[in-house]
Amino acid sequence: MKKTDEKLDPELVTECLNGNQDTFAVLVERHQHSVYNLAYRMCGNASVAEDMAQETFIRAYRRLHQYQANYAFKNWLLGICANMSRSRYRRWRRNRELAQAYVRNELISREQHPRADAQTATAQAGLEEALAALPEKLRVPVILRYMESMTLEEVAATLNIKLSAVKMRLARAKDKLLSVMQSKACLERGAP
Amino acid sequence: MNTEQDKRFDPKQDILSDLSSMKLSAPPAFVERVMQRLPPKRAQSRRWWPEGHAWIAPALTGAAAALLMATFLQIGHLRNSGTELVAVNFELHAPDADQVELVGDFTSWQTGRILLEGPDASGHWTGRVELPAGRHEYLFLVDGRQWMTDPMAMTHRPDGFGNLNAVMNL
Repeated sequence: MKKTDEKLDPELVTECLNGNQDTFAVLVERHQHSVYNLAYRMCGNASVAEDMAQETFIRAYRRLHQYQANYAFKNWLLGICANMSRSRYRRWRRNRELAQAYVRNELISREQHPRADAQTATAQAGLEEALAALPEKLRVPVILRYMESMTLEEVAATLNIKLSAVKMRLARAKDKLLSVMQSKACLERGAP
Repeated sequence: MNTEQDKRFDPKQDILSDLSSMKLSAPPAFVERVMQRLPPKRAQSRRWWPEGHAWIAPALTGAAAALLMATFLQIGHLRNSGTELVAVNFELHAPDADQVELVGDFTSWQTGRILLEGPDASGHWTGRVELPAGRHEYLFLVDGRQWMTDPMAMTHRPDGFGNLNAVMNL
C-alpha cells in the first residue's frame, strides 16, 4: 500500500473527498511554493500574497468536487489563484509602489544571502524589476511558462485563453523584458 | 545557420532561463495556517451513495415514483395552459463567489432551487434552465447573501426593495 506522500494528486483528492481531510495537507505541502510564488508576483506584498495563497487553497478545498483528474492539480490551483488576482487583489496590483518595494526587498534579501554571487544577484534583481514592471496580462503567462515549467497548452488551459494568445503574450513579454533590462544597463553605464 | 553558440548567446533565452531559479518559497508554517483556516468537514458531492444499503431500494422506488408523478403533472399543466418550455442559458461573472443561485418568479422567489455551475477558469458561473415561455423577472444570489442583477439582461425593473430585477421575455 502506498504511503500518503507517495500518492498522486488525484488519489489524494479522492481520499479528501471521502472525508480524510489530512490528505489535503499533503496537497498544500506539495504546491504551496508555486501558489505563493504566483500570488507574490501578482501583488508584490508578502502578507497579501500569503493571504491570497491561503485563500486559493481554501477555495480549492471548497470546490474539490469540481476538480477533474485529467487536469494537473497544480495547474488547477494556479488557475484559481490567477483568477483571484484579477478580482479581489486588483487594488494591490495597481499600486506600483508595492511592486517597487517588492523589488527592493528582494535586493536586500539577496545582499544578505551569504552564498549569493554578486553578479548573479545583480542580474536577477534587474530581471525581478523588469518582471514586476510587466503588465499582468504578460507577467502571468511568463510565470506559468518559465517558473512553473508549464507547456504552452497548459498555460492556455489554465488562463482559459487561446494557444495563439499565449504565444503572442510570451513573445511580447520577452521583448519588453529585454528592452527594460537593456535600458537599465545603459543607464547604469551612463550611456545616452 | 544556428549553432550551439548562437543559441547560448540569445539574450531573450538567457533572460527567461534565469526565471526558473527565481521561484519564491512560501513562508514557514504555511501549511499549518492553511489547515487551520479550512472550513469544517462536510459531505462533498462525489460521495452520494449511503453507507448502509438497507433503505436504498425503497428510497429509490419512492423517488422514481415521485419523479414520474411530477413529470406527468408538469406535462399536464403545460399542455393545459398551452405553455411551451424554452431553454435559457444564464451566465454571471463572479470569480470570487463560492455559490451562485438563480432566483426568480419561476422559483416563486424561493432560494436554493437552481444553482449555477462554476466558476470556470475565467470566473464565469453558468446554468441552463428550461422555463415556460412568457415574461420572467429574476436575480442572482451570490454566496447566499448578495443579490445581483444580470448585467446581460436586455431590460431591468426596480423591485421596490432596492434591487433591479433582470427581465426577460421568452
